[in-house]
Amino acid sequence: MAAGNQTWNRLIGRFGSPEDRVTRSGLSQSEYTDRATMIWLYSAVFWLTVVDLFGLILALEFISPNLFAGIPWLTFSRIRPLHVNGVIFAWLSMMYWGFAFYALPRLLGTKGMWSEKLGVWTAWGWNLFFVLGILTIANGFTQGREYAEFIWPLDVLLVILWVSNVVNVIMTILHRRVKPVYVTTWWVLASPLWLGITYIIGNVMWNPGAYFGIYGVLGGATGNLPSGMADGMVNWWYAHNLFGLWLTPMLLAGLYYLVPRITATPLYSHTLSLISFWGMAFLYTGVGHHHLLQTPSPGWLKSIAILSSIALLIPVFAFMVNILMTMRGNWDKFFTNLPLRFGLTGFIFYILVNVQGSFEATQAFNQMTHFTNFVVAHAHLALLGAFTFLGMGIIDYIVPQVLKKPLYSRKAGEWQYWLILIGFSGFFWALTIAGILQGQAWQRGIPEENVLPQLQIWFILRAISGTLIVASGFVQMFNLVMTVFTDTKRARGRDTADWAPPQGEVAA
Amino acid sequence: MSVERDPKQDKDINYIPAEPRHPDSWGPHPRKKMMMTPLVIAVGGLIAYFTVVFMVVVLPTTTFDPPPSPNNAPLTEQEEQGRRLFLANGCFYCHSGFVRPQDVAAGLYYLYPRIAEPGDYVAPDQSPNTFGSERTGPDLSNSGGFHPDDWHIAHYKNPRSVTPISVMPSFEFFTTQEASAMIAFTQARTGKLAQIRSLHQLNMKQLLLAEKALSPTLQADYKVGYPGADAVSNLIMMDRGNWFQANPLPVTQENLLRGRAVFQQRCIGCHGVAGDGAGPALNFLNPPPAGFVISDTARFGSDKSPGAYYWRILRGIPGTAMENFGTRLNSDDIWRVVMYLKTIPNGGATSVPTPEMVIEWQGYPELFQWADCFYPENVAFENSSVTYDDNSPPGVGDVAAMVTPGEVNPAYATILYMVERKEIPCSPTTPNISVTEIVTAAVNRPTEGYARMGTPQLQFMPGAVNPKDWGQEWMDAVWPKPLYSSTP
Repeated sequence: MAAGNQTWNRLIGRFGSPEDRVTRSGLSQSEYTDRATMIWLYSAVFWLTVVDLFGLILALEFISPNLFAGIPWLTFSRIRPLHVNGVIFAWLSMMYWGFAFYALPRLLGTKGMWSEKLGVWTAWGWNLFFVLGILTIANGFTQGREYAEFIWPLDVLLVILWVSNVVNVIMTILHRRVKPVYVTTWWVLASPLWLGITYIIGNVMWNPGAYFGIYGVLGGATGNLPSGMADGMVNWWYAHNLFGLWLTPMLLAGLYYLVPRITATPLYSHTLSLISFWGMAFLYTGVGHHHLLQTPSPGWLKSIAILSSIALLIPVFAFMVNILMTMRGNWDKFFTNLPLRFGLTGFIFYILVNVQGSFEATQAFNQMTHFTNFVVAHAHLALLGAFTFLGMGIIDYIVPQVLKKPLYSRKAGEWQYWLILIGFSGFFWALTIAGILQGQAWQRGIPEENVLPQLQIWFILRAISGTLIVASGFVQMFNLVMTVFTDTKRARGRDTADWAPPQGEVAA
Repeated sequence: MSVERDPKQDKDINYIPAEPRHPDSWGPHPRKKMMMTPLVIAVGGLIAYFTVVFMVVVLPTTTFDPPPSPNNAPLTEQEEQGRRLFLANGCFYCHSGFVRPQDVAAGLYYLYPRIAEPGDYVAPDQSPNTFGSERTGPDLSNSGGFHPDDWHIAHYKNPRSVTPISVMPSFEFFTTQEASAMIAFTQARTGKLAQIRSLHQLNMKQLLLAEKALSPTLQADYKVGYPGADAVSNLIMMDRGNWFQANPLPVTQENLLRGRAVFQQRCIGCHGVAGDGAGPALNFLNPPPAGFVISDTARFGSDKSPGAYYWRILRGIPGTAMENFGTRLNSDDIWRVVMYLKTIPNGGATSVPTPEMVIEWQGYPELFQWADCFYPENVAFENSSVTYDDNSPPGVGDVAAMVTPGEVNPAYATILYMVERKEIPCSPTTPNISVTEIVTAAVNRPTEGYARMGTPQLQFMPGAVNPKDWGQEWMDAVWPKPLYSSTP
C-alpha cells in the first residue's frame, strides 16, 4: 500500500501540510468498516432497477394507454410520482449517501463514520421509507404537490433519517484526523444541511393538515401554503433545489473525489473549487422560480430566477475547468477505467444539462419549451445522464474497493455502459424532438391533443431506449451480485491486469 | 520547468506513473488564499442559503398579495373534493393549471379564453397549487362547460371512446361519488366564467332532452314538409349563411380519403366506425350521438346540409357531447369530413369511399320557405356569399356572449317556445313567427328569462336543479339510464 499512500498524500496534500496526520496514521484500506456504505449502495442498485421499471411502465402507457386500464395503482399519474421520487429519493439519494459514507472516512483519516451503527439504521430506515412511499402513493395517498408527494408522516420519517445522517457527517468531521477538509467534504457537509431545511420548508411541514394526504374524502389539503400562488412558488423553489442543493452538489463531490483518485492526479485548482462552491451556494438557491416564468407571479422573482440561472454558468464552468485540467494528460484512463468513464460521461452530460438549463430559463426559450417534452428530456439529461452515470461509476468504483476484489465481469460493465449510453441518447433525442414538435405546434395555435399522433413515433423510440436503460440497470445488478458471490480475483486474474488500476486501488 | 513525461507512458496506455504530475502553473498554496474549515463551510453555507431564501421564499410569500380577480367564485364542498381527487390522482402531471399569454395569443380561444391572473390563485381553495409542469393533454384551468357531464363519464371510463387519439389513462376505478366530484370540479374551473359555461351546457341539455319528448309528428323531419323539432333546435344555433353553404372543396378521392382518416382519428369513439352513431361512448351519452347511415336523411334532412355539418363540427352542440372542433381541425379537414359523411349511406365507411358515393344534399322546397319565414330579417343567402344583418342570431359557439347580462340565447328561446307550445315556429300549421320575435318575447319576460344572467333560472324540466347542487340525484335526473357504475 506504500504507493497508494504516496498518491493519497499528494492528492490531499494540496490542502494541507505534508505533516498531515493521515501520513503518520498509516491507515490502510483494510481498516475501514464500510458496513453502512454497502447497505446504501446495494439498496441503491436495487431501487435503480425498480424505478427504471416504473419509468418503462410510463413509457409503455404513452404508447398503449389501455395497457393497465382499470388497475388504479398502475395508472400513469400514480406511477409518475413514484418514478420521479424514486429516482431522487431512493436511487440517487441512497447512492450519494453510500458515497458519502465511503469517502468521508478516507478523506478525514477516520476508520469509519462517527457511528456506523446509526448509518446502518438510517440505511435500512431509508429503505422502509421508500417502501412505505410506494404503498402510499400507489394507493393515492399523496400531498398532491409535484416532488412533494410523500405524505406528512413519511416527510417526518425522512427528516429524521436525514438529520441522523447529517449528525453522522458532522460528528465524523469533528472527529477527523486530517485537519484540512478536501472539497468533496465541503459539499458533503453543506449539501445535506441545505436540503434538510429545504425539504422542511418545501413540504410546508409545519402545516400537516390532513396527515395522510388528500385522497378522496379523507380530508383537506396537507403540506401546503394557504394561497395557491404562494404554494406554487414554494413548491417549485423546493423542487428545483432538490437538484440544485442536493443532487448537483453531490455530483460535484463525487467527481472531485473520483477523478483525482482514479487518475492519481491532484485536483487542479483550489481557487476554482472555491468559486464553484460559493457560486452555487448563492446562485442555485434562487433558480426554482424559472419553472413558473409563464405564471402570473411577481416579475422581480422571475428576474432573480433567470439571472441566477444564467449566472450559474460561472460556478459550473469553474468546476468544469477544474475537472478538465485535472484530467489533462489522463484521458487514456477515460477509455481504460470503467468507473472513471461512467463518471466523466456523467460530467459531460452535467455540463450539457447546465448550459441547456441556463438558456431554458430565459423567457424566449422558455416560451417555446415550457410544458413540452423538451423539459422532460432536459430533466432526464440531468437525472439519468449526469447523476445516474456518475452513480453507476461510483458503485462500480466503490464496491470493488470495499470487497477488495475486481468486478465479476468487465464485459458486463461494458454492456452496462453502452446499454445506458445508447438508451439514454435515443431517449434524450426522442423527447427533445417531441418537445420541439409540441412547442412549434402550440405556438402556431395547434392544440395539445392534435400533436399527439405525431409524437407516437417518438414515444415508441423512447420506450425502446428506455428498455435499454432498464437492461443496463439489471446488468449492473447482475454484475454486482456475481461480484459478491464469486471469487472474482481468481476468475479474472489475467483479465484484471489488462487494465491496471492506480496503485493501491482495486480494478473495477 | 516543463512537465516531464515518463517515456514508458507513451508506450503503454495502462502504465501509471509512480508520481502524480504537477503542472508548473500551480498557484500559491491554498492556505494563503482561503482556508475552508467545517465552520466556514457550514455557517457560511447557511448564511448564503438563508440570504437567498429570504429573497425568493420569504419576501414573495409575504408581500405578494394581489386582490382576488373578479372572476373568482368559491368552490363548493363537492367541488373541493373533486379538486383533491384531481391532485391525488395526479391529473396535473399532464394537465397544467394556468393559461399562458402565448396560449391566448395562439388563438385557442375556446379552451384558453383568458390569460391567468394573479388574483385567480389567492383563494384558499386554490391551494395546493395545480400549476403543473407538463402538458400532454390540454390545460384544464378553464375546463368548465367545455364538455357536458356525460362526456366526462365516458371519458373517465375510457378516454379513447370520446377522443380516439387521446393517450390518457382510464379512470374507470372511480366510484360514482368520486366521478361526480371530479366532474363537479372540472365544470367549476375557473370561477364565474366556468359557471356560465357549465350552466349553458346544463340548460341546453335539459332543453334538448325536453325537445326529444315532443310528439312524433313534431319529430318527423323532411317527411312532413317542415323541419322536425331536433332539426329546428339544431338550425337555430347556426348562422343561416352556413346552413346553405355548399362544400367548397372539389369531390375527389383524396379529399374523401382524408375525410375518412380524420373521421377515424376523431369521431369513431361516439359516431362509430360505421358512422351509425354506435361508438363505444354510445352507452354514456344522452342525447345519443348522431348516425349518418340513412340515405334519405343525408339527401333531404333539414339540418344535414354540408354547411350545417360544417358548422356543427366547427362549433359543437352545447348540451350534447359533440365537441367544438373549431380549434382542433383546420377548415379544409372539416369540409373533407363533411364530404366523407355524405358517402356513408352508400358504403363509404365499409369500403373505400369514391366520389360516386357522395350524396348531394337537396333539402326540400318547404324547407326554404320555412327558412324565409323564420329568418325574414336576413337579406341574402347564396353559396359562400352571405351577408348578415345585426339581428341574425349569434352562434352558440360564442358561449359567453350568449349569456351576457340582458341577452337571451336565441336557441334557448326558440326551443323553449317549441316545447312550451308544442309546435314548430313557421310550420304550415302554426303562425308565422321569426326568431327575432321569439327572442324579443323571451327577453321581455320579466322574471323568467331563460338562462339570463343574474336572474333566477326558470325550472324548466321537473327535476332540474341548480348546478350548485350537482350530485347523484341530479345525475339521475339528467340521465335516465344507469350510465356509470364503479363495477364494470
